[in-house]
This record gives sequence, structure tokens and C-alpha cells, in this order.
Amino acid sequence: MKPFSYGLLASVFLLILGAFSLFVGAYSISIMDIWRQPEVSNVMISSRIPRTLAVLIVGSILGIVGCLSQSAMNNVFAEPTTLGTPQGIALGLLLCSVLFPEIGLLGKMLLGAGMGLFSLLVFFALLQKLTLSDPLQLPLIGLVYSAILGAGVTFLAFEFDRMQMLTVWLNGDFATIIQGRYELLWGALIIGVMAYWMANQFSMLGMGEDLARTLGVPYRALVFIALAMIALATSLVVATVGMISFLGLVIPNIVRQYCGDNLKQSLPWCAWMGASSLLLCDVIGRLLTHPLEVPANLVFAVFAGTVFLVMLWRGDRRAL
Amino acid sequence: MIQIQNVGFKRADKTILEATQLSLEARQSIALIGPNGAGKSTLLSLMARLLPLQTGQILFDHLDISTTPSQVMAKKVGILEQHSHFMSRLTVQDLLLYARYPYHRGRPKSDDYDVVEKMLAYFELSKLRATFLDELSGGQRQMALVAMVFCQGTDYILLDEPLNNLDMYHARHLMTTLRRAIVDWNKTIVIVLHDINYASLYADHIVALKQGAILFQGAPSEVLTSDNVQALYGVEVDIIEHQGKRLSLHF
Repeated sequence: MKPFSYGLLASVFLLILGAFSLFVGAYSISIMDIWRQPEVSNVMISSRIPRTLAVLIVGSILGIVGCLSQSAMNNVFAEPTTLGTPQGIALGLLLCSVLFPEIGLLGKMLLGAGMGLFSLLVFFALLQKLTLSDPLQLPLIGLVYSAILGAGVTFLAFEFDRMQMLTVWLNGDFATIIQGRYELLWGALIIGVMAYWMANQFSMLGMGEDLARTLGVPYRALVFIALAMIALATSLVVATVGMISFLGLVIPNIVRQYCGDNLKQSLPWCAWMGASSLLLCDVIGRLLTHPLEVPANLVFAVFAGTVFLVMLWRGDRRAL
Repeated sequence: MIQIQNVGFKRADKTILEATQLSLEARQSIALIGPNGAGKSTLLSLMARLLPLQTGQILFDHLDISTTPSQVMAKKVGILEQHSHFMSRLTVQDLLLYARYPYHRGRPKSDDYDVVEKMLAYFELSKLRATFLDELSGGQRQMALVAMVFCQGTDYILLDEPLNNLDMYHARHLMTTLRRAIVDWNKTIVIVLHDINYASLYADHIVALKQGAILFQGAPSEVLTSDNVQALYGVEVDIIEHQGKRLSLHF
């Protein structure tokens, strides 16, 4: 099959899944009702459509962000969750709500992104000091790093009585998404498009600092741009719906089996696969305990954990 | 022409390379030989701007590496390191195209594709163009990496032990291809070699380093004497002549 027809097939699949998602929820809707009953079209416009769009954007941007992290850190296990980024962002958001409670959503987001970027830069600097003998050491170091950041954040949240906010930020859930509460995510999508536009440059980062530098690639500057994009996009996700853990780890690693490390080829597939798998998980979450819900983050964690274990089991260290 | 003036290197008070003077003519293959830890790779890394110059100057055709912008140097000098650590799930074709970065800056044009096409054919990699690097054999992978450096289109090419882990067939194939490429495209190649016989057969000029200093240099037919080799490696050898080339027997 030609790449074009793969793309067509993928788009059709996503469209069907998206349409299906519109009709799953606590309030049951049939296609006929939309035109007959005004309150039904209201549910559609204010809740179901925003929710579906939010899931699609978050899934695709986290797929892209994961892929970008792996090139920037030159390590296949890198993604925001294994780099402590959500904790860094949560720290920024928390400081914001304590110090500048009146600042508004955008300012909050920028401060979150700033702290996220800072935590990424510290991690990157740390990585330069160490020589990893196995790529698996990165998530181990990342785990310790996240735990330290996480402890600080938890302490602050506890002191200022904001534990609930912290839980919301670190556990992605789409149940609360309604019209007017997800629109910032379109910004994340713009970052995704920019990442694709710069895909060839970012692919060069995966060749490592020495090789990139001898080719005249402005390595440090590009890493900084990549990390800034990762921090900003992740911050938008954390502040609106909360983090979906390990999506950026599992999806890009499945995609790279087929598309390799050329981001021009792999990024669109990371976006597609991230979006469709997260939407699938969200729909399953809505159906499992209907009319109650299981958060998408939990369903995805089960899915991602299984895939990850299978990959490790197959001993595909190189490919992972 | 490569001019190395007064270049030394220290790491934590330990002298890796003593202040070195070296002048190398262009359009030839230059072999760097010497025992482990002699400073060969350090010298090569300094030339490639991978290590910062602590003292002295290095010039390629009067371009000073410490003052010339890195985009200009990227079109002058290419290097293949001994261990290239990178995410290696790239196809051979993509790898070669990435090496054209100094020209396309991330937006490849038809010229770049033409060069890649030419190099794929020259290095006999056309059939492997769509294969991922991590699925190639060691020999094929090394050939692809060498093709990548040639794609960069530089006048000077630095290779750090390219024959490591290659079997007899692939090592010979790589060296003959390199030899041919020097002639075909007027390249200057500086190559770190461990096998003194490869240096003798394929290099025009040999530079021998020991403990961070140049022990001797010159054409293989002049400098490869049993005394010199013994002084360099501390191993007794017999030097024999075979078809006008000197070979060392050291077993």
C-alpha cells in the first residue's frame, strides 16, 4: 500500500472513532434526537464535541512531545513523565496559585511552562555530566528526579491546602471538559505543527552533539527550542486536563519501529496514534462503569504499561 | 594543506598531547598510527573542533578552525568518530541526506538528493537505501557512515579507526574505496589506523605518535623500518618488502 492510502485509512478510522465518541456518555443520545431536541444539541456542543476535540489534541500533542523529547535527549526512554516535567510544571502552577492568584489562565500557564522548561534544562545539564552505559538508565535517573520534584510540590501543596489541584494536574481526566475550558489546547496543537515544520532540524538532534556540531547544526540552540516547546505544550495539557502518563513513551516507540527516527515521517504517525489510542481509552473509560467514568489517564496507564512490558519482554532494547 | 601549530592538550594536569607542530599536504591519505593512548584520537578531535583548542592553532587551507564560523568549517572538514552514538533508526538514504545539512539547513533541495544518489551508487549502497541503520551488518553500517561523511562534500575527511570490528573483506573493501575516492574527488583524508600494514599499503604519509608526541613521520617506504616500529610499539618486528610495499611481520 502507498503511504497515501495508509494516511487515508488512518484518517477514516479516527473519524469513525471520533463520531462514536460523540454518542457515548452519561446522557444517552441517538442521532435522531440531535435535530428534534434542543437540549440534546446543547449537550453535543457544550460537552461532547469539546471533550472529543480535547482528547484528540492531547493525544496527538503528547505523542509529538514524546517523540521530540527522545530526539532532544537522544534517548528512546525520554518523555515528559520520565523527565519530571509534569512535576516541574505543577510546581510552577502551584506557586502561581499561591503567589499570584489573580493572574489568569494564560499567565498561570506560562509560569508553569517556565518551571517545566527549567526542570528540563536542569535534567539536560545533569545528563551531560553522566555517560549512560544503557539507555534504560535515563528513566531511572528521571524517576529519582521526578520524585525529588514531586516531594517538593507535594509539600507545598500540603502546606497551602492545594492537594486536590495537584491530583487534578497529575491525573488526566476529560470528564470536566466543557466548552470554554479546553480552548487553550489549540495552542498546543500550534506547537505540534511548528514541531513538524522544524522536523528535519530536530531529527539532527538525534544524531548526538558531536555529529550535529561537525555538520554545523546549532545544537544547543535547537535543544533549547525543542525543550521549550515540550515544556509549553505539556504545560497546556497539565493545566487544562492533567497529565496522561507514558503516552509520549509508548506511542513514539511503537511508531519508530516502522517509521524510524526521521521525525518528518514519524511525527504525523505519533500524532495520529496518540490521538486514536487516547480517544479509545477515554471511550472505554466512559463505558466501563457507565454512567460513571474511569479517568482516561488510568485506562491509558493499563494499556501503556502492558505494551511497555511486552516490548521489554521481547528484549527489544535496541528498538525501544 | 593542514597546518597544526603548537597544539597541545591537557586533561586534569595530565598531558595527552604535547605541543605539536605538523604540516600536511593536501590531496593524499595520511595515516595516524601509534599505540593506545598516544593521543591520535585527541589530535583528530581537536582538528574536528570536537575538543576545544587549549593552545596553538589549526588551519585548513588558511581557515583557522577557532575563528571560522562553524557553518563554513562544516563544508571544509568532516569527521567520522570511532563511536557514533545516535538514535540509529534512520534509513541509509536519510543518513546521507542529513549529512548535507551544511548546504540545505534542514530543507533538502534537488542538488542534495543528487549528491546522495551519487554517493549511494559510489559506495554500493543503492540496494540498502531504505534499510534502517540498526538492521545493517557491521560492515554495511560502517560503509554507510563513511558514505555519509563523503556526502558532506568536504575537502578534508577525518576518520577515527574506521576499520574497528570489520572483517578482512570489509576492511579491505573500505580501504580500496577510500583510496579510489581520494583520487576521484581530490580529497585529503586523515585516518587513524591500528594495523600498520594497512597504513603501509594505503597511506601516502604516515605520522606516528607516542605518548602525545610525534615519534616519526614520512612516506611509508622511508619510515617503516623495524627500528622505528619497535620504538613505536615496543614490539620486535620483521619488515619485508612485497611488491614494492613494506609489510610488518609481528606475530
